[in-house]
Amino acid sequence: MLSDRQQGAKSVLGQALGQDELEEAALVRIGWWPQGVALQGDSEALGRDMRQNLVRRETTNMQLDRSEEIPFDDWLWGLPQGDLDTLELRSLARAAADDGIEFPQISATTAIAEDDVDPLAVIAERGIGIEDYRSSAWGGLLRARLKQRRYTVAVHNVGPGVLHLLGSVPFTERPWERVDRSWLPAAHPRLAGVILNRADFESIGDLLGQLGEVHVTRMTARILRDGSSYSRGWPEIQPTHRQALSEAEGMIVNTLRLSANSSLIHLRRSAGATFYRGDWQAFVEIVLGRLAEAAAERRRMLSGRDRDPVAPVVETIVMDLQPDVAAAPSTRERILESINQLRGARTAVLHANPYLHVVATDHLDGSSFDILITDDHQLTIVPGVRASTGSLARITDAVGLTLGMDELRLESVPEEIPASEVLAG
Amino acid sequence: MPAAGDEASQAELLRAEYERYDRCVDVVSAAEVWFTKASGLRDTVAHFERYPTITTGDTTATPDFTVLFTDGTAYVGELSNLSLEAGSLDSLCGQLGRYDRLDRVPGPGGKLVEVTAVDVLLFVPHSDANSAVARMAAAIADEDHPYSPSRFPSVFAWSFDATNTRYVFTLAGGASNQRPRGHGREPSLEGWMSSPTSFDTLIGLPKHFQEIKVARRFMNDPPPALYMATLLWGAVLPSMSGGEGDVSTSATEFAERLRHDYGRGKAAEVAQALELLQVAGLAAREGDDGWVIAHQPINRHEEDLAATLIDRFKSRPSGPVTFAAKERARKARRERESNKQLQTGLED
Repeated sequence: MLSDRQQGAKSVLGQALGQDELEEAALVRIGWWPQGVALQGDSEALGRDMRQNLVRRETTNMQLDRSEEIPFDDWLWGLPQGDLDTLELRSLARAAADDGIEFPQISATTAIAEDDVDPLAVIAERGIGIEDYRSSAWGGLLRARLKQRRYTVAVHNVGPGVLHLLGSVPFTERPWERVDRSWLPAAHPRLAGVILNRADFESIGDLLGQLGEVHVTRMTARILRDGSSYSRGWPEIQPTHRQALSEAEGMIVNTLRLSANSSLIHLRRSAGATFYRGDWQAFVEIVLGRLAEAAAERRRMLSGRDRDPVAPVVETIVMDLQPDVAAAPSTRERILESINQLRGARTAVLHANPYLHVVATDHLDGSSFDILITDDHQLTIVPGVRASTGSLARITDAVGLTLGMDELRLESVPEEIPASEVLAG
Repeated sequence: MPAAGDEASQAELLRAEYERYDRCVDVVSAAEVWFTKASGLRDTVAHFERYPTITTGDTTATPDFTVLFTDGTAYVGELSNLSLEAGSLDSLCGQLGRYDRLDRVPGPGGKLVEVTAVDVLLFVPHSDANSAVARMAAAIADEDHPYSPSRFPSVFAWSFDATNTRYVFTLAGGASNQRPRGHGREPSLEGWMSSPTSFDTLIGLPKHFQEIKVARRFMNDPPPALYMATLLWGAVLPSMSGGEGDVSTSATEFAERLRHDYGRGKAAEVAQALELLQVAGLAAREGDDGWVIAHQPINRHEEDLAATLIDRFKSRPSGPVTFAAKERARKARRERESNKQLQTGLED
């Protein structure tokens, strides 16, 4: 766990760099994390030192960018078509090694796609900075450029409407931020991200147990009560994933850094993961496999939900919330903000007291949904007569991320309610 | 739609009408839950009608709901915001008198079914309920007053309990007021209300009626313009525009769509909402009955669509409204600029 002085320095550095929460990778880049450095001075001085160190490193990186491309990305982009078509994701590390290419860390984000959508084509059409693309039997490659840096992102279709975006650029750096924050939103609602819930984190941790004992070296979370951030590292005695998650009561876990045997993996709530080192095949099968499963489950749940206007509503989508969240005074504003900040999404408050009833409209494709909080522990979504999968996904994700969704599920509307619930006694 | 006048008070009126109507939709939805979902009671009900229209001879009655029981008796429900004016009482008594004389109510499929007895249920906001009972009792006692029902209506006082997120319905005070009859049915509202633990009080939980409200949206009174405009903009137009664009339609066509999607839709009520959108610079007339609505995201900085519509209603924006008109204006401007440049070139 960081000391108060280290936390203070991290915060100073974050502010200096214009980032609310400084990502771990920025600290890794300046050699401060995970070993930690014995810098002297108060938080302000430490923050300044760290910043100078980071700026120096970034400058060097930029010089490298100008002189060299990334070998792995160049290799992947340059594969002959036949090799590309037959390349299996799980064999990627071996294929690179066979060609004498060092296998780098790999960032991944999992997403869902509407029916009949070619994710590669949609991203290539909408994504900023994409210079070229290549189709393959399993999806294809995107070649992008940010300033002097050229990089490759693979679009790997893993099932009907489920895909991974994969690349060697670290997820905290701008090229990958662009994938998550620009390319995917630009492809909304034909493509949409997925968020993981606690059960997904637990399940991935459990499965990693096949490799060896699972430990958490770092966890970040948001405290639901006041929205503040929580960050904890375990440099020495490291807990299991379940022990670490049990510390997160009243919080929503954003990231987990897990080690199992020689593997080091970073998991993100927004259905993303990073492979740092270790058993690549296990990463593909366990981590990416579970992310794909979570995405497929979400897609099934959100598909074909258009309301039949001549029939009663028999099923709704329910978002389970942690205690007190539904009733918190700030919840209304947080829901509205989370939806309105999405491109083309707008809200109408039909009823704000004593319960909340909002109509969300997605102007990107004409979908609409009713969102209601009439219960202390859950939020209910009733899709409108037009409700696309991608639109439902992006709106439930936005609200779920804001409110710290425990679980998203389908719930049957009861045909009958107990008489005691309409009687005052 | 409120008549022209002071814009601030018009806006206030728009909002007040909207909220009042929304609460009434909730009250009817709560009643629908009792009769269609509450264990036991639902088995005694042959049909609950949310939008009844009952024509007998020259008169048409449109109560706020009707319940046909399997024993051939019925309840007729009405919601009222009774004002202090005598005219308001007379109007309400006239309505209730007509309901009292009904001998048929809608059955399954909407077909009118003859009934052997009718009880009228009146729902009044809590603060006015006791006085409503007293004033109706006085009207009945007054030989010169035409209101003379076969049976005093069952008057319910309703309120919402914000702490417990629920609507509360209590049989209003007054010696004349009485529970609705159960005619020996088991269970019945009469039996439930007279049980030692209920204290003549029923509950309406939003979590029970939320799906009904989403699927039905209206009650049987005309929705105010702002309520209808908000619904059209947020939930109906998106599927017509694909999210953004000009929608050419008519009030009649819109009303048909509303009837299909929500069970109720009247062209005159839609037209009022479209007129509000017109003032707000979002719709334009086309021919006699035609309208073009420029559907688009409008409330970027204001999270409440109704509030944005009120702001636009107050500011009365001018200029081209539809996407097509804006495009024509852009083209004309470009042509003018191009001609001007050409002219300048020639002069040089």
